[in-house]
Amino acid sequence: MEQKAKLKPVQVGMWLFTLGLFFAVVLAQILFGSLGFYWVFGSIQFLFTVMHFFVLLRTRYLIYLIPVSMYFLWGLTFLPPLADHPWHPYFAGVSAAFLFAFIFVLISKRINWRYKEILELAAQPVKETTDGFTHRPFPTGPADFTRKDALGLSRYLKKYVVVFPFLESDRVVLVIPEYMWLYMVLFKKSYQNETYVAFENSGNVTVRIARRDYGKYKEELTFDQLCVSLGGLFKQFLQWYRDGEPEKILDRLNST
Amino acid sequence: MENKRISAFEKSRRLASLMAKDYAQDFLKLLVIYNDISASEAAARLGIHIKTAQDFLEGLERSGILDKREAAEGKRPYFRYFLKERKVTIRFDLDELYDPEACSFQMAWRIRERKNSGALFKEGRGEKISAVDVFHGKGRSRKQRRYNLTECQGRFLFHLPFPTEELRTFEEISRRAGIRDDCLHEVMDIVEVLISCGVIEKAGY
Repeated sequence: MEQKAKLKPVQVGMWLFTLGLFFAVVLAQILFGSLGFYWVFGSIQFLFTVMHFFVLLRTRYLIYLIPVSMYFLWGLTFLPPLADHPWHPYFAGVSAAFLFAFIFVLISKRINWRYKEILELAAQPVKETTDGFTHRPFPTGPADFTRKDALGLSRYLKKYVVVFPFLESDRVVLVIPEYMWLYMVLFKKSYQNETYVAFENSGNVTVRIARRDYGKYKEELTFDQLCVSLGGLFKQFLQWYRDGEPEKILDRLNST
Repeated sequence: MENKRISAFEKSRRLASLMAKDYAQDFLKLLVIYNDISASEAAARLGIHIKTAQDFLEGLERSGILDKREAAEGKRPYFRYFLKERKVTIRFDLDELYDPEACSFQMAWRIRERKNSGALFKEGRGEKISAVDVFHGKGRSRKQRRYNLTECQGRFLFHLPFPTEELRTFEEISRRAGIRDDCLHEVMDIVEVLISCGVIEKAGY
């Protein structure tokens, strides 16, 4: 049976970012004509190339070569100085091939940032709506793992851009940011106002849900139950990782 | 018991306050030199206001350093003061300021974080809270007060039940947090503060 979505639909930041780029292109067209359009549009492709290249470097997930190549070739295709380059038709042709590959990757959810999926999965078992938000982290109790397990899971989840891990001496913190770009590309160092799940060296699992993320839910879900559920979800991920079945994690995330 | 503790401390505090006056040494010297002295005589001799001299003498009398006798020399009656004690010691037992027996009934308190308390908890390293920011007032008069926490206080608050959880006893939370017995009193102190600020809710409170 399909679960009713508990999250509000809009990620305002991404919409604003996209709209900003759209208006930049339109403005360039209006002010400078088609030459301006190509300069701005081509530059945006290089910006995306750099962004995806950083993700490639940080995750070492080779599938990111597809968007990197695609955006790079689009940049070469659209930038005016290269318009008369003898290889220009090849740039365009090959970039189209990468576009199809990229569409396939997106449809098959091989590249899919999981912020919404995680929050949605955490909310599924929570039926009560009595609010109770607090900034405090929630101790969800002990789990059976070693630091090595937690580190392994963090590497796996980082590769698939599920979380951004912070490795501290006493725990492994898996941050679930709304905007992964801030961590992957802009090297944000703090997770003070983010949702996270922490695997402590002591064997305990701690969860904190940020107010901003809690506000994304349509209803004021009972907060401790939500924290327990998020902790339980990651304990399950850890168990699958330990059992040598990490692909189940992505299947679960893709199931929402 | 409480009144007795306060009075012991208050007595010492008042005496210390009198000894801190600029004129205290000269005044006490007069009391040593004179067999007895009135407020007006002392005021004239030291060049201070008679009310100041009167308050000082009465303060010493209340503290048990002086005694007084009524005198009437053809005019209306007044008091003459003389030393009762020639050695002054300020001494009190600091342990009297806190009653450790109160601990036993506080251990049975059932508490949790209050819903929408508005407090901000700053997280510390390793399953503890390092500080709590509490807000008083509203609008422009809103004020923030930060309570920096000790290690034990931080661990206790980390394990404090969430607003939607069942209330738990102080004892149970302490056990979960692994609070040592010698820390319990400082934990109780911050819990009492946070109850009074409306951050922690106590059953029946």
